[in-house]
Amino acid sequence: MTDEKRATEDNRTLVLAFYVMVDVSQSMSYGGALESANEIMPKVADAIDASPMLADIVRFGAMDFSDDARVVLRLGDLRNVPMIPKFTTRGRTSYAAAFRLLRQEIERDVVQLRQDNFRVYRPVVFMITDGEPTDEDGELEAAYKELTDPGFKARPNILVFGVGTATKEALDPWVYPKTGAKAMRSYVARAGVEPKTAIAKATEALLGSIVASAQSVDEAGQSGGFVPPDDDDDDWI
Amino acid sequence: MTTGSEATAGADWFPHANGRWVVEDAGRQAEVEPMPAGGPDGVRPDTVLDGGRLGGLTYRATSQRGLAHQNAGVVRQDSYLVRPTGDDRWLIGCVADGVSNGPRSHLAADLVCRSTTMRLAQFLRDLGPPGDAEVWTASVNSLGWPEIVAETSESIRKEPGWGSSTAVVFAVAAEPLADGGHPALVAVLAGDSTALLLGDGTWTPLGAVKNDGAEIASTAVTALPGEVPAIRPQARMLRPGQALVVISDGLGDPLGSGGGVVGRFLATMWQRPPDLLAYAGHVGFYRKSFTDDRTAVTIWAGVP
Repeated sequence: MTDEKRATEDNRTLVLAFYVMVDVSQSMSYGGALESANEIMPKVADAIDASPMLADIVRFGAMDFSDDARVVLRLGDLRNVPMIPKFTTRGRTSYAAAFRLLRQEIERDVVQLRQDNFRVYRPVVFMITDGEPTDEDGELEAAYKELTDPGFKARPNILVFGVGTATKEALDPWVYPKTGAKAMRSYVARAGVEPKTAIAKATEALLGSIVASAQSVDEAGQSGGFVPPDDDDDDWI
Repeated sequence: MTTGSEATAGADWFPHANGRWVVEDAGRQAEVEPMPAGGPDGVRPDTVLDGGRLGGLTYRATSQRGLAHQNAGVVRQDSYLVRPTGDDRWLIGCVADGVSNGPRSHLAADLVCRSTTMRLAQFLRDLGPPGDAEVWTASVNSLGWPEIVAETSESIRKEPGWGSSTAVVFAVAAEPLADGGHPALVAVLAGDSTALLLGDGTWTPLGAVKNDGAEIASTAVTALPGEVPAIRPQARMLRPGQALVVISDGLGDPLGSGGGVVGRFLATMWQRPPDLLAYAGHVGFYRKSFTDDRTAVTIWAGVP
């Protein structure tokens, strides 16, 4: 390695990239789900603003998905966003579109972060959804496989939060990784819990996880820079 | 009289208004208010510091609670131990980092340091004179490394709830050989605590540099007790003017292989042994995003 390349490597500072991927299918307009989802970004922004630990390390991005998936807020420093955008509902529920966009955006963002002289840890995706995907099976599996392909070095940790009628059985296939010391999981609200309450609770879990991750980003541990919400929490609404 | 800082402050490092060194960019680190750790662990000191001379060696050592642990009211999980052997022929020690998954892993780190250092002292006592470089290398390779690992692991396993710890051990002969070199050894027993040589302003890592060039960085480590790869001890001769620097990853991560701004900062400050308290200040620099506990033991040879 040349001295210049060595200096570049040695001078990197640390960054943790978090993405929220929100289901904006029509059904999310009931039960206050969308309004609740729209409080996620302001809450994350407030938390970052209030905490020097978060501010120096966390980059946050937001996407939504329905028939297609779109970037709502490009990954960046939330403190630099003058007007936080909002999610709006449209169409049905394509997880495949969500996974394809994640792959594309993460690939792009990691290249950019490294060019900006950051040492990048495995990105984290918090996916929030109220229902089963309307994709063709083959298409959905292919998109998930592409996002979590071991050859894709920046393949993210994926946690899925289910609200409304979403079931654990339906969501578990889409977390990553599924096994091992760093296995992620889905979090599903019990039947009867209002979607807005479930999303508010998911937001708390997401924030807690961001804080814990930022606290331990460069510590020796099993979590690879990311601390998921407490696994022993049986009370997850 | 100058303290050194007047002459060396520049664009890349400078004192913060609160007195602490900043390397390039402090981010918002100066806003962190240290919170005490609660419960029985609250007695653990935030920062410890030692220094001294033994024969032809001068050493400084410090372990400091990182900003993340200060912010969260969590104890320092790093530990070190540095001491002369009973016969004063060797300066020996250990740097350990309790793995964060265990809530009381700082106790594992302390224990690892005690256990490994005691065993190492016994091995060195039984070892004859180091001889030349070739003999020294053979001696280091033949020390009972698997035994040290097994015994240390066993002693931690007896303490349920203590978790696990990384460990790097070292020893440097107090007196030089005829050619001026001090026989020295470093062995990473588990994890990402590591060591480098510093001489003429240049850093030489004694082992792989963590996350070097990795597209996606990892914090996964091996630890004691647990499965660890075969120990590959490093036998060296510490030349007059050179320093052996043994560190936890809290300093290893911002330092890397020493080729960046942190490497230049510390090389400038540590051309010769600094004042004890100044040394602690050098290790505790602000640099945006680096908030882990930091430990550094530095041993200079042949300081007049």
